[in-house]
Formats: sequence, structure tokens, C-alpha cells
Amino acid sequence: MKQSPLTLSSALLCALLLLVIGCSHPPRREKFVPSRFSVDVHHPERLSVSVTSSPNAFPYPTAKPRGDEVFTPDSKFAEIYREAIVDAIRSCQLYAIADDHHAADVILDVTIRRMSDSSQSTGVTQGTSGAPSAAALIVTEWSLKRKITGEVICHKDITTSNAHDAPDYILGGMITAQRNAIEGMAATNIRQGIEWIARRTTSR
Amino acid sequence: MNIKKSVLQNRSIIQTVIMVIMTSLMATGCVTIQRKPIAVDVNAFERGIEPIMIMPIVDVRADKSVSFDKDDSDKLRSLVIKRLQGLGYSAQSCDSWKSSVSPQQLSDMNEKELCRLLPPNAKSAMIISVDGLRDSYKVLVTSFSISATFTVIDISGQKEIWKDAAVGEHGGGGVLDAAVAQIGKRSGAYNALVDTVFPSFPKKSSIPGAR
Repeated sequence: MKQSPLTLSSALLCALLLLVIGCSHPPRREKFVPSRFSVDVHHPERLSVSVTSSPNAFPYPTAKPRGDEVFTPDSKFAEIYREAIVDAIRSCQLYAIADDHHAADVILDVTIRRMSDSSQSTGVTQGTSGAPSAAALIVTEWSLKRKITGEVICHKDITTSNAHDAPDYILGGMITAQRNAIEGMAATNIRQGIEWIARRTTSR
Repeated sequence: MNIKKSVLQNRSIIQTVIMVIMTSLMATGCVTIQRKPIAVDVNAFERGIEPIMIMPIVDVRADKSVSFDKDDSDKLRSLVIKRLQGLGYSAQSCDSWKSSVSPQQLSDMNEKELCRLLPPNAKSAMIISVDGLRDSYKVLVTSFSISATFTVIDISGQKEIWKDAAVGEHGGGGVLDAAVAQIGKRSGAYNALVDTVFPSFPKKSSIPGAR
């Protein structure tokens, strides 16, 4: 029986589309936790962490981001982010971690305000980049408050880019490169945020 | 006969599915979508934000292996000023902060603290922080990327009234493209950055009652 060339090419095309669109890998929590960092200050208070995502986190809300599981900072992504912050604070002992929100003395609210990669930044409106990379950035808002009084201890946006060490795309490795870029950037953002809190609370 | 008919029907279904997928992909790629800023306070724009002072660029990169000198800073600021003027605003560059501070200190400050270092005669100031630079040249592929955050602060209200951040990239692949891109890649990346960010800045003509 003769195989139809159209059917074969259609199957190949569909397989390729599925490979590019459907096979995005979710980010891995353990890769979000920054390694090799320490802080000089340790507070005895118990801390509770919450992470939310701003509706404007993706700059083009009506466009479907590429590799959507990786790039849409949804509730699952926010939960991974929160767990990574808790793990990092626990490991550097900046604060004790409260078992639940009610037992906390201090609250850290983190909002993911922007998350994009360069292809989303430039590709939607124009295509200036002839050599795409996995360069990306994330902007998070960190607000540390006393639970009882609501007093804001410190408040700041932390912007992190991986532009300096973003890997180039290689054939077949686009989605993995994007995931690695997001994971590396998230770990750096969390480290920057914790180091900033340590600096701001040193003199208290 | 029936088998032949069924094969033909299957072919036409597959063709239709492919056409629908390709058309939707093309349509998604062709539509220009309005960019949303990270934050915008339209009420502050209505009260008037001019002149906007463009402050010296704050280089907050941890890894400074790629150079970013005064020429680069001036180029980027001049592109920003042109873009703001194109949107109907008066903007000018300010070459110093009120007192000497390190990029790290500036980076750690919140809006209220930053306002103490801004010129008091201006209504608002734009602070541009460069978070990352990358310069890559590999045989036939060259690229330059810059990541930056743009914040406009209302000086009297001591608060952020517009903010956006993006990565601008420029490069080329192939013998000729890479060679051409290598020459103007920095300017190309700065242009791409400004082109990406400023569509989210409100046009003056679109602000009701803007003064």
C-alpha cells in the first residue's frame, strides 16, 4: 500500500508544531532556590511569606506567551516562587519561618510585577533581533511588614535580568533554554531580595 | 471505492486543520498588541508631569564585564528624550544627583529616599536602571542585549507614577548579517529597548486635561 505524501508531511508538520508549542517544561522549584549565599544578620522573629502575581505581569495580556507554562506567572508559578523564598530564608537563617500565617510576627509580601523574555518584548511589535537568545527579566515587589501594627519595615522593587549570561538558542533546545533562563533569573531575584532585606534590617 | 472516498475525505480534513492552524499562527504574529506598563498613575499625568528630568543612568549590574560608558549612557538618554518629545512631553537630561551616592545605594532606595536626590525644580524625574548587558559574538552569530528598568517619579508626591522594564536585543546570523550587526549592535539594542518600552507610556494627547 502506497503512503500518501500529503498525509506523511501533515503528520510531520503536526509533530513539529506539538514539539514547539506543546512540550514546555514547567519550572523546577529546587532551581529557584539560590545557592552559595549568606547574610550577616539573623532575626529571631517568625516570618510568613506570600507571593502573588500582578495582572500586568505579562506585558501583552491578550497575547499567548510562547511556552505558556514557563512564562505565565500563574498561581502555580507563584506557589513555587513562595516555596523557594521560604527555603532560601530558612537556609540563610535571616528569619525563623512561621508554621502558619497566624503565628508570624513579620509578613513578607512579594508581588510578581513583570516577567518577560526578549522575544516577547521585541517580537510582538517588531523583530529586531536576528540572533535570538533566552534573555529575560523579572520585576518583583518586596514588602516587609510587622503583622500586628501593619508598619512597613521596608519596601522595594527588585529587577533581575539574565541578559549577561543568557544562553543562545540551539536547535531543539529553545524551550529548555527558556526554562533554564527563567529558573536562573528567579534564583537571582530571590537572592537579591533577601540580601536587600538583610541590608535594610541590619541596623534595627 | 469507499476506501478511496474515505482517504480523500481524510485528506481534506487534514488540509483544513493545517490551514486553520497556519492562519491563526500568522494572525497572532501580525497583530500589534498594546503593551501594558508595570505601573501607571493616570491621575498624576493629568496634574502635569513636565518637565521630566532624565537622571544619570544607574548601572546596577553585578557583572560589569561588558562596558557601559558615558557615551552609551548619553546615547540611551538621548533616545529616551526624543521618544518622550515624540509623545508630546518636554524632557531634558540632568547630569548629577543632589549628593554623591553609589549605584548600590541608589538601587536600594525607595521613591521617598530617591526624591531627596532629585532636582527640586522639576515636576518629575525618570530613573533608568541598567540591570544586565550581554555582548556575544560566535563565529557567524552576533548579538547584544540590554535589560533596563524605567521609572518616572512624581517629585512632589514622592511616588512612582510609571514603570516599565524590558530587554532590547540586536544581532544577526550568517556571514553578511553578523558582520553588519556587529557594527551597530549597541545602538540597535538601545533602539530596540526604547521601541519596546515606550508604547506603554501614555501619549500626552491621550490624557484628558493634561497640562
